[in-house]
Amino acid sequence: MKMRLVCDADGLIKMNKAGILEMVARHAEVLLGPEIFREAVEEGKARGYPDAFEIELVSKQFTLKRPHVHPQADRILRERELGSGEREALQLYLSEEAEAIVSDDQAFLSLLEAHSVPYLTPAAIVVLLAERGTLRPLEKAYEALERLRPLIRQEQYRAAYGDLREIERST
Amino acid sequence: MAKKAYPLRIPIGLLELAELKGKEERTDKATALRQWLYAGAEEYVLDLLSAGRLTIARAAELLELSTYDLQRLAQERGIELGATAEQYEKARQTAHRLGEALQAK
Repeated sequence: MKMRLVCDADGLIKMNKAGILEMVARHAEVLLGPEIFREAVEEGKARGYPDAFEIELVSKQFTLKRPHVHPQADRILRERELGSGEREALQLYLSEEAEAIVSDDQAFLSLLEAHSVPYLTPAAIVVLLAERGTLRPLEKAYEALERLRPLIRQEQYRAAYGDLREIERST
Repeated sequence: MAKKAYPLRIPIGLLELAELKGKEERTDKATALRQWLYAGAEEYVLDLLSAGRLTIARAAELLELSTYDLQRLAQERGIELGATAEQYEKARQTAHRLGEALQAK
């Protein structure tokens, strides 16, 4: 049984940058809606970002769904102004009963946390894949984290790096 | 971007500078002023993003940019965006829980 993960555009772009998007799509069911696809693929392609073309290729392995309006999401969404992709990610998570939302957006994650919505960050996924032996040899996990480094907070980079060192010591 | 006329009192010095910029760049005073407005708005949005007060998708909508553009702008200006170390730790806890649930299945 595969884990079901909803991704927002920020999460998709960063997982692709880390080089783990395809691996994640193989090991989990990646759910996204048309707005998230537009932000991560169509807008990026229109502005000439190569990553958008790469995400489009991997997107054939994603499950594209239009979310139903969920009453709980409506209540949460009244609290903070989100972008349409983030609104869609929350609606999808609730209507599809997914396991978690993948994002690296500080403000979005704060809102999810306040409502006990589980989330994963791309750096945490790199470490999880290393821990489960999916991303091996371990150098590949370090390389993935290095690719993420310019796009994430250094405090998160250091925490993830420390966790990779811990895995290295224990194996 | 949808536009709306807005009455604004602008210091004469700024108007003179806008006129100069307009002449130098073969455009007009109004365009020069709008460019400054956008530059200021971009900087403000990046501050809000960095402080975790605005989401990247909403910021992109307000500025009519893409998520990619904002990530690039933040990188170019050395502004850190993204999850905090505390949020990363929460994500790690979620990862552990999900891993255990998958194994139990």
